[in-house]
Amino acid sequence: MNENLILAVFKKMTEYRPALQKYLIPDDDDDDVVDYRVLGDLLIKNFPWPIGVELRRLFSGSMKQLDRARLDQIFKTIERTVQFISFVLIAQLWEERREREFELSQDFLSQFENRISVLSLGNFTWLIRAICKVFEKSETDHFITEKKEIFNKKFFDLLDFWVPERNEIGHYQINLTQDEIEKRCVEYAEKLKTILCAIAFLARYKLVTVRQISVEKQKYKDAVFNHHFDLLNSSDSDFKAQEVKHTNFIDSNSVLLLKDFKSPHVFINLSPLIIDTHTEIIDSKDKFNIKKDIFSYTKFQNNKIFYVGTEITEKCDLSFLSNYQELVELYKQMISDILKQGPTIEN
Amino acid sequence: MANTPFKFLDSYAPEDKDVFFGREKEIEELYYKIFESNLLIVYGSSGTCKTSIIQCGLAGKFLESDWLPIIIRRGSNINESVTKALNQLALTPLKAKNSVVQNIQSIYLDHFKPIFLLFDQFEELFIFGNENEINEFINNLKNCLEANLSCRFIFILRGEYLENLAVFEDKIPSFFSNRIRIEKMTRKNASSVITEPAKLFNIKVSADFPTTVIDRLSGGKSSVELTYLQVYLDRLYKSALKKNPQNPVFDKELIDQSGQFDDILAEFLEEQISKTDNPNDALNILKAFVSNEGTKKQMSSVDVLNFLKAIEKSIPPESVDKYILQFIDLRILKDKDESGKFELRHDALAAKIFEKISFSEKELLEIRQFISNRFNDYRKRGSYLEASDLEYILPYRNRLSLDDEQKKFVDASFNISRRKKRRTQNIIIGSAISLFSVLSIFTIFAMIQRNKAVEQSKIADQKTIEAQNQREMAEKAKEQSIAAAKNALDAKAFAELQKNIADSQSKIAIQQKNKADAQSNLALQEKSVANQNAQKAKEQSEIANQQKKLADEEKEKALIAQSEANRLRLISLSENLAFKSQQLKNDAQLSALLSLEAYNLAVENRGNIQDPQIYNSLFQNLKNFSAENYPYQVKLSSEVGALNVSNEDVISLLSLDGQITRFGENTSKPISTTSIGNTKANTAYMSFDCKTAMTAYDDFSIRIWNTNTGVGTPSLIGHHDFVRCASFGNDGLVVTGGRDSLVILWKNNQIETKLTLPSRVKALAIIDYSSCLAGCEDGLVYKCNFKNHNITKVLDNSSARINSITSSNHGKCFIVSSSKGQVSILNADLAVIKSFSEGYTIDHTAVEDESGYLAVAIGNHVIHVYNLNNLSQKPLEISDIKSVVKGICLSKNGNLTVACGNGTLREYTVKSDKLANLLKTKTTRILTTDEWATYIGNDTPFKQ
Repeated sequence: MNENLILAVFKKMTEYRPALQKYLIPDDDDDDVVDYRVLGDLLIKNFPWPIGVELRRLFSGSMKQLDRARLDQIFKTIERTVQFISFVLIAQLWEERREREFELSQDFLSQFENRISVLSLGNFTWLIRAICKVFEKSETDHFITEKKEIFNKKFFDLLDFWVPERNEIGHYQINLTQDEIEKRCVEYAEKLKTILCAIAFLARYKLVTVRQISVEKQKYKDAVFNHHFDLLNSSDSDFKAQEVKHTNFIDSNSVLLLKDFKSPHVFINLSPLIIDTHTEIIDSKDKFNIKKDIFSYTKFQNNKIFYVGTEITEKCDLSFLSNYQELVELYKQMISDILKQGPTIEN
Repeated sequence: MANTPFKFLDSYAPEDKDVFFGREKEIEELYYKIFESNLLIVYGSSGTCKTSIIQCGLAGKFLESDWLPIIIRRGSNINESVTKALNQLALTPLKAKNSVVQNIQSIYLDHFKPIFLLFDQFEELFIFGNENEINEFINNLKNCLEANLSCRFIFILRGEYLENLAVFEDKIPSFFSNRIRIEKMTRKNASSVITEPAKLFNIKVSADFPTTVIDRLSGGKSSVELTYLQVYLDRLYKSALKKNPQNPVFDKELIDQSGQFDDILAEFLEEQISKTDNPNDALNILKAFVSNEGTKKQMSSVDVLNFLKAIEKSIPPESVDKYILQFIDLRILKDKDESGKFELRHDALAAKIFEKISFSEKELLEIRQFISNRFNDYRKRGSYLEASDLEYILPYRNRLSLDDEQKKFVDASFNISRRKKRRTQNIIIGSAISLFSVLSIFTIFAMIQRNKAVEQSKIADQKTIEAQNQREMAEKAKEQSIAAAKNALDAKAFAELQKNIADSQSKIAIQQKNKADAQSNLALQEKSVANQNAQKAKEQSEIANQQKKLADEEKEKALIAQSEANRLRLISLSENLAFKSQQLKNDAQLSALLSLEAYNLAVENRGNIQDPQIYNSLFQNLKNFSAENYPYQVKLSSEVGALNVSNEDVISLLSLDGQITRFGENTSKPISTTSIGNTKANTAYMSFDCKTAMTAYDDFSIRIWNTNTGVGTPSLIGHHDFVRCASFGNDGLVVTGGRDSLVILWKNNQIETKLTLPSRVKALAIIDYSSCLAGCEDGLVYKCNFKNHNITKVLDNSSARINSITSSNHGKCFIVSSSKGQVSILNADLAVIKSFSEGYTIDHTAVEDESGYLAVAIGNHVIHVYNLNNLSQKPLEISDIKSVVKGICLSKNGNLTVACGNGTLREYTVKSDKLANLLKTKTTRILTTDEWATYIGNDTPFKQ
C-alpha cells in the first residue's frame, strides 16, 4: 500500500543524507529484497517529530485500507506538514523583522494579523506562499537554504490543491461513495508523495528540545556550556538525549531547528509556536492534566494561547504550565515585532 | 457499542468503552504514567478491575493507530507465551533464531503502532513458575528496555504478590519506579457504574436504587467489591428485562424481589452447580481449577481427569467434557484458550470453591505435590525419599493414583528403606552370636580349672588354702561363666527375638506380595475393561463412518441444491436480460444480443423458453430489425370471411367476394385460388380440413362449397334470420345456428334436424355426429342432441353473451368465449377444466391439439397465446396488430395466422426458438466483455 510512497521519498531523502543509501542495498539474508518497513521507519525518524508521527499513523496497519480513515489521515499529514513549514517561516520572519529593516506590504500585514490568530490549512498555505514571496522580494536567505529553490510556484500550487479538496469532502452534504474514496486515496497519496519528496531536505535538520543548559567553569578557563538536547526525530515519544558542549549558550527550554549539532548556535527558535512540555514538573494538582508532548500553536483568543498535541490527541489545557504567561507574552511580542509600524509599501 | 450494560464476570474490552464508568480518575492517572517510563506496574487486590481499566479505559484514550496491545498470560511458560503471542501478530514471519528484541521490532515495523505488552495475571509467574523461567524473562526484559524499542511493558498483578517483583530489581533497578495501585471502588464511583450504563440502555433507575444496592454489597464498608457488583447488576438487569422487556426499571421493588444477597458469588455458584445432573461430580470437577493457594488454575480436560484420580473420584471422561461445556455456558469457566486449557472466570469463584475442598482432599493433593517435588529432586540429584518422608506418605500410599514413574520412585524408596532396616538387623544378630561364642569359651576354661583344683585337694593341706583360694577363684570363675552364660542366653534370646521380628517382617512382605498380586489382578481386570472400551471405540468408529456417509450424502444434496440454485439464478437472469433488452432503444444490435442471450440462458438451464418476457423480447427485437419482414404480411384484396389451416400447413382464406386463396408457410404469394362466385356473402365459414366452406347470405340462405373444385350447393333455406355460426363435422355434416334461435343439422344438403334454442345462437361446435354445442346470446351453452332433440345446459355464463365456441382439431377440447372476455376450456366430456377472464370481449379463438396452443383474439386488438399443457403460465402477447381481427388460425408448427380488418394477413410464430433463429440472422456481432460484465455480470463466465 505505502511502498511506492516510501521508496520514492526515501530515495529523495538519500540525496540530502547519503548515509541513508546503505539501506537501499538489500541484506544477503533477505533474498535481495529491500525491507520497506525499515525504510518507512527511517522516513519517520528523519522527518521532524510532528510530521513523523502523522506519517507513522499513515503507515500503520489500521490505515492500510483505502477508506475514509486513510483519507483523513492523509489530510492530517498534509496539515501537519504545512503547519510545520509555516511555523519555521514565521519564526524566521520574526527574527528578520527584529534584526533589520524589513519592508512588508499593508496587505500582507493585515492578512497576517487576521490569519495568525486562528490557524487552518488554508492559512498555513497562505503563510508559506506569502512569506516566501516576502523573502524573495527582499532577497532574504532562508534559514532552510533548500527552500529557496524548491519553494516555487509549482510547490505552492501543490499546496493550494488541498484546501478546496478538504472543504469539499468535509462538507456535511457530501457523502462520498466507496469508489470515490478509493480513487481519492490513491490520488492524494500520490500528491503527498510529491510534497514529501519536495521537503525531504528536512532530513538534514534536527528538531530538538533544549532540556537544560548547565555551566562548567574551571579556574582560569573559559566557561563551557553543556547543552542537554532531546532529539525530536523519533518513532515515538522516547526521545534520545544528546549532550553537546559549546563555548556559547543557546536558547533554553525551547524547541529549536538546528542545522548541525556541531554548530548549535545556528538555529531557529520555534517558540511559542512549537513547545515541549516534557520538562514540566508536575508538582500541583492543577498540573495533573498537563500531558507530556510536543504541542503546536493553533489559535490565540481572549488573551489565551491554545495548542494541540502531537501524540496526545485529546484536548489539553496548558494554562497551568509554569511558563504559560511567558508564552503568551512571547506570542504578543512576536505579533508586535512582525506587525510593527515600519516602512511599508502600498500594493 | 457494547450490547449489554453490565459485563457479569467478563473483563471490559475496548468495544465496551461506552459502558465503562467509575474509573475515570484511575484511567487519567494511567494515561499520565504510561508516558513516564517504558515500564508500568499496575497492582491491586482481586476484583478491582485492573485488566478492564487497561484494556478498556486506557485503550480508549489512544487512537487505533497509536495502540497495539499484546496481552500475555503465563500459560505453561512465560517466555514461550511471549514468543507465541508475537508470532500470532507478526505479518512478516518471525525467524526462529530471532531474539525477543528482534521479534518486537519486527512486529512494530509490520504495524507501525507503538506496542503495549500487557502481562495479565502476572502473579502466575511466581505461583507456577520456576527460577530459570523467571531469570530468562528478566534478561529478555532488560534487553528490550536497553534496545529503545517502541514498546511499553505493563505488568498487572495482585497486590499480595508485589514483593515477588523484588527479584527484578537486581538487573533492572528502576523496575519499581513507575507503578500505580488500583484501589477498590468507592461508593461514589460505584454509583456511576450503576446509573451511567443504565442511561445508555434506557433503564429507568429510581433515586434510591444505587444506594440500596451499594449498601447491600458493601456491608457498611466504604468500598465495594466490584466483582459482586457486576454479577448482581447483571442479574438484576435480567430480572428487570423479564418483567418489562421494553422499559426495564431498576427500583427497590426489584431488589426486594431478588432476595438476599449476602454472598452472591457463593449463591451463584451453588445455584449453577445445582442445575447440573450430578452436583457432586460438578463440584469435584470445579475443584480441579483451583490451586493449593486458592487461586484459579488453568487446566485441560486431561489435567482434570488426573486431578479427579488424585482425590479418588471416578468420573468418566465424557462426563467431564460435558460438565466443562456446561460450566462454560453457565459462565463459570472461560472457553479454552489456544493451549486447550480452561479456567475459572474469576479468582472470587476460585476462593469459594477452595472453601469446599475437604481436609483429606487437600492432604491428598499436598502429598501428591510433595511427591511430585521430591520426584523432581530425584531426577536432578538421585535422592530417594527419607524414612520420615515414607512415614508421612505411608497412610495414603494406596490412595495416591500416581503415574508409573512416580510410583516406581516411591516403591524404590520403600525398598531401599526396607533393605537398610534388614542390614541393621543382621548386624545385631551377628554381634549377638559372636558374644555368645566368646562367653562359651570362657565357660569351658573355667571348668578345666575346677578339675585341677579337685585333684590337687588331697595332695596337700598347705595347698588347701591355695586350693581353697583356687576353689574360690574357680567359683568366682564359675560365677563369671554362669553370668557369661546367662548373658549368652540373653543374647540368644535377643537373637531369637530378632529372628521373630524378621519372620514377622517376612510375613508382612508376603502380605505385601499378595496385595501386589491382587493389584495385578485388578490391573488385568482393568485391561479387560480397556479392551471392552476399545471395542466400544470400534463401534463408535463404525457409527462415525456411517455418519460420514450420511454427511457425504448431505454434501451431495447440498451440491445439487447449489447447482439448482445456480440454475434458477441463471433463469432469473435470462428473464431480467429479456426485460433489459427491451429497455435499450438506441442500440438494436445490443438489444438483440441481449435478447438472444436471455433465450440461450433459458435453453441451457432448462428454463421456459416460452416465457412471455423472453418471447416478447425476441419478438420486439426482430421487429426492430425488420418490421416489414416480420411478421410476414400479405395484402388482401377483399374482406376476409373465414380462414383455417390444414394439416399440410396450407392456409385457406375465404374472402367475402367469393375467392378462396391458399397460402403456404411464410410466403406472400398464394399457392392457388379458387373462385366460388362473386355473390357477396354476409358471413363465411371454413372446415378444419379446409376442404369445405360455407357462405351465408342476407336472405338467410346458405351455400356449402367444395373448396378444391369451387362447386357449391344451391342456396339452402332453413333459417329465417341471419346465420351467425356454423360448424363442420365428418361425412359432410354441417350445423348452422342463427338469430332465429335455430340450430339446423344439414346432411346431404337437406335439413336433417332442426332444434329451437331458448335464445339467439351465436356460436356452434360439433361434438360428434349426433350432438353439438351451441352458445347463445343469453350466455348459456347448450348441448344439442340431434337424435332425441334434447337440449341440455352445459355452461352458464349468463353475465355475458357467448361469442364463440371453438373445438380443437381432434376434438380434445372446446373453447367457449364471451363478450365480457370470459374464456372457458371444456374437455371432451364437456367439463370445465379452466376458466379465466381477458377483460375485453373475445373476438375469435383458435386451438390446436398437436402444438397444444390456444390463441385468443381480444377486442383490444391483442392476441394472447396460451399453452394448454400449462395454463398457469402467463400467455404470450401479440400486440402489434392495430386492427380488428377478422379471423385467426393455428398450425401444428406453431404458426399463428391473423386476418386483419385492414386487409392484411399476418403470420406469426408462437415459438421462441423460431424467433431466436430468425433474430440470429440479423445480428452481426457478439457481446463484448464489457457489455457482458455490465448486463450479465462477471458471475456468469463470458461466452464467445
